Amino acid sequence: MQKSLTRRDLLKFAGGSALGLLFTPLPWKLLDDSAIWTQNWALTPKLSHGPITTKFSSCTLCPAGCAVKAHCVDGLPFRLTGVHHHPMSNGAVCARGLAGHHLAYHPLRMTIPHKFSGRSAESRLIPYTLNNSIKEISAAIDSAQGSVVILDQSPNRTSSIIFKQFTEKLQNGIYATLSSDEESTLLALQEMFDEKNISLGYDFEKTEMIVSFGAPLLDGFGTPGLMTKLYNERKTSRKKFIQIESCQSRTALQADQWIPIKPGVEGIIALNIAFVLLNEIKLHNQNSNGAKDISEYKKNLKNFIPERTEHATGIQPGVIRKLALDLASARSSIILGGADPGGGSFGKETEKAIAGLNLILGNVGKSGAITERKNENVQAEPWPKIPDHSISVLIMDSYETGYAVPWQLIEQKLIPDNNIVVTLLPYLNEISAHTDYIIPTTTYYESVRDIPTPAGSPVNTFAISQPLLPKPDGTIEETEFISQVASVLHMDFTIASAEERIKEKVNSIYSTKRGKLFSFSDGQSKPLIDISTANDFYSQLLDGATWIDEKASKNLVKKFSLKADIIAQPSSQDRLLLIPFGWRGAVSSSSLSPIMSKLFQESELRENANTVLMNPQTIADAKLNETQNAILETKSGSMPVKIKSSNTVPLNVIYIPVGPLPNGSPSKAYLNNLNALSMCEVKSDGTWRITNAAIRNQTV
Amino acid sequence: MKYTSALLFGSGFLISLIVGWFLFPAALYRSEPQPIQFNHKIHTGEKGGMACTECHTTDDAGKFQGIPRIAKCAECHAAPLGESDVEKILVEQYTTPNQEIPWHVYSRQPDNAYFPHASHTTLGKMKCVECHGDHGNSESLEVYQVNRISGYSRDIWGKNISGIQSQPWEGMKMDRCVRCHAERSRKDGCIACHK
Repeated sequence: MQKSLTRRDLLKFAGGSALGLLFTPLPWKLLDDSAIWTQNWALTPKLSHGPITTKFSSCTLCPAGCAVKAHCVDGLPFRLTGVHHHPMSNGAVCARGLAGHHLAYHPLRMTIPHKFSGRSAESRLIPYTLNNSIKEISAAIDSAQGSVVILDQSPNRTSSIIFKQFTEKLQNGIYATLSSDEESTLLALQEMFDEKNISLGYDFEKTEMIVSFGAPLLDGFGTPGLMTKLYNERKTSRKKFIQIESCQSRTALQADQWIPIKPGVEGIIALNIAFVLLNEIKLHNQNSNGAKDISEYKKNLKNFIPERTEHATGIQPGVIRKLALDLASARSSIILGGADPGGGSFGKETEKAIAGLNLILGNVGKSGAITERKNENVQAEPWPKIPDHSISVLIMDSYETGYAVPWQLIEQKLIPDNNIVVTLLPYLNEISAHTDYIIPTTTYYESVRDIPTPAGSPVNTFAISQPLLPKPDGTIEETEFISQVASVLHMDFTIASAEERIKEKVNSIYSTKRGKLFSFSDGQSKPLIDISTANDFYSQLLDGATWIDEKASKNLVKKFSLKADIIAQPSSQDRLLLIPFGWRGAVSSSSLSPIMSKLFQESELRENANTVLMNPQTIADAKLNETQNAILETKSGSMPVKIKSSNTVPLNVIYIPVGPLPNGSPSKAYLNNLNALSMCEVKSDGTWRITNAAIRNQTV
Repeated sequence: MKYTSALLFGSGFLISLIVGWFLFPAALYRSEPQPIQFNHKIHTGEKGGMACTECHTTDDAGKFQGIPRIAKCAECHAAPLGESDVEKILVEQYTTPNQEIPWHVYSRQPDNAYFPHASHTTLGKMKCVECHGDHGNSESLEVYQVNRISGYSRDIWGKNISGIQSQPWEGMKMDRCVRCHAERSRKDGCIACHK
C-alpha cells in the first residue's frame, strides 16, 4: 500500500522545520551578522588599517586656531586631539574641532558649482560649470550699477589682502567684514578713542575679576582651552567669574556669581555701575584723565541711579553697589559684553556703556585687563556702514566663524530685485540657500591656510594649518576664483599662490625678530631670534608651531569720549520676547559633523533648533500644552516648534536655539527660511537679539 | 497513518536542528591559516620568561600598540634561533627583508568601536587574560576563522555558535562590554566607545 505525499504532509514537514530552526542559533545569528554586514557595505568608506602616524596642524574652524595633533592611518586623519602645553589652546580642542576632519565627508559637501534657477521658494539648485559661473559673475561685476562687495567672514588672512586688492581695483568695489561678535566690546572701546588705529585684546590670564554681560565665557568663547584652564585654576588664582544674564546659561551656571536680569537691560546696568563708581565711590584714576567728556558723562549718569531703574532691570540697588565696590577694589578686571553666537552683539550704545566701565576703572592699557597689541588688521569697511540697498554684486567668502549671520542682515544691503549674490563655501547651508551662485571651496585641512591673530587675543600670533586631506576635484581656492574673475575682466591683477603669500607673511614676521615660536612636537618654545633663517621659521610653522609676539610694554593712555548716550528703558513687558541663542559653531550657517548632531539630538546635550525653552509659568499663562507641537509667530513669519519648559528662563521670554540643526544638515524646509534666525527682526543697528513674538499650540 | 504526521513534523524538526547546530556554523565560517606559526609559550614560559607587555607594548601616551611589528621580532630573530622551518620562514621572509607579518587578529574590533587598552589595564586594573584568555601560554596559533557575512573573527562571537560562553574570556561583542561595565558600576554613554 503506497501513499503519495500530500500538500498537508509537506506543510507538516515545513512546520517541523520552522519550529526546529527556532531551537537553533541560525535565525538569531543570521540576524546579528546581517546587521553587522550592513555596516560593511562596499560603498561605506573604510579607513585603512596600518601603523598610526601623527601630524600636526591648526584648526581653522573658528578664529581661535587651536593646535591639533592628527592621528593618521595611511596618511589620513581618523582622530584629532589637542597639543599638550600649547600656550594658547592649552591642550584642548572644542567638541566641534575634535570632529573637524569629518566635515570633508559632510553629506551637504559641495564639490561642483551650483546655481539657483531663480529666487522663488520653488527655485531649484542646479549643477553649473565653473567657467559659465565665472563668466556670468564677471559680466555682472562689469555692468554693476551699485557697488561690488566682497564680504570676508574670516578677516586678516593673507586671502583677505587679495580680496582687498581686488576690490580696490574696481571702481565701485568695497572690501567688507562682519565684526567678530567676541570683540564687540573691544570694537566699541576702539571707537571711543580719538586715535583709531589701535588694536586691543583681553589679558584674561592675569586678570582678577571677569564680569560678563551675557558673553558665553565658559561655553566656547575665545580659545576654549584657555577659558577652561582659567576656570579650573580659580582656587589658586582667586580669579572670579561674574555673569550678568537674563537666562541661566551654561556660563551663568558655572560662574562664581550669576546676576539674573530682565532681557535687554544690560546697558542700563552698566551705567548703574558707572554711576556708583563715579558718583558714590568717587573713583578716580589715571585713565579718567583721558575722558574728554567726563562732566557731561557724570551728569547723564544721574538718570541711572540704581533705585530709579530697579523696576526696569530687576536688580536690587544693593547688588549693583556691591558689584561696583568689588570692581573698584579689584587689582585688575575685565568687563565685556554680548557676543552670543546665535543672538549676536548688543547694540552699539549698550556695548559702549559696558566698554566705558573698563575706561572708568583704568582697565585699558593695563596688564591683567585690556591690552594693546600691534595693529596688523587688513582695513575693511564694517558691514553696518555699507548703505542699505546699495550692493549690486555680493561675493561672500563664507569661511565659517561659528557665529550666526541672519540672511536679513545681508539682504538689507542689496539693491532689491537687481543683485547677484555669490557664496564661496564648501557646504550647502542656510545662507547659501539665498544666493545665486555657489562656488565650492576647499574645506578644513584640505589646503594650506594661515591663522592670523584671533579676535580678543592680548598678543599677535601666527600659525599655519597644514593640509591633512587631499583636495577634492572640482573645488577651488577662494583666491583662485578671484584670479579667474579678474582675468575675465582683463584686470591687471596677478595673485601669488597661497604658499607664496604665507611665505611672504612669514618673512615679514621673521624680520621683526620679536616673540617666540612654540613647537607642537616637543612642546618647547624658543625665541624667534634663535631661528637661523626665514625658511627654517616657515618649515617649523608648517610642521606645527605657533609664533607668539611679545606683549606690548607701553600703557595706553589716550584721549577718549565716554558718551553716555541715554539708553531707553524697555517698556513694561506685556508681550513675549523671542531671544535666539547658540553655541559657537553649531549655529545655522555652520556645518557640524553629522555624528555630533546625532549625539546632541539623542543625548539632549544641546537643545535642537526647533525646540523653544519657556518658563513653566509663561507656558501656563499662555495656556500652552507642552506635549503638543506649537507655532511660533513673529512679524517675519511663523514656524513649527516644540515647547520645553525650563526654570532657567525668565518670565515672558521664549529662548530659541539657532543650532545644532535637528538632523545635522539643513532640510529643504530649513532652506526655505523656516528657521529661528529668519524669525528674528534685524534692527537698523544690525542687532537681532530681541523680537516680539507669539506662540500657540498647533491645531490639528 | 496515525504516526505519519508526527514523523514528518519530527523529521523536519530534526533536520533543522542538524542544519542549525552543525551545517550552518560549518558554512558560516571560512578558515584562514595564520601566515606563520607562533609559540607564545616559548616566549612567556621558563625559556623565554617574557611578560605580555614586552612585545604588546604601549606608547608614551599609554596607547596600546597592538600586534608587535617585525622590528620587535628582529630584536631577537635577526638571525635564525634554532633550525625549525618556522624560524627559517620568519627570518627569510619577514625579518631579513623587514616585511611585516600579515597576522589575522582574532580580537579585531569594528572601526567604529574604540577600545583603549590603557584605561582598562591601568585604571580598571584588568589582566590581559580576562579578555584574551590564556593565549600567552598557547603553543600554536589556532586557525583564524572569519565570518563570511560580517567579516569578523569567530572569536568576536565566541567559539560556541549558541553564543553561550564556556569561559569568561570568550566573545568580544558589545553586550560583554556593557555587562562588564555594569558589573563595575561604570555609567558610560555611546560616545565612550563609539567616537
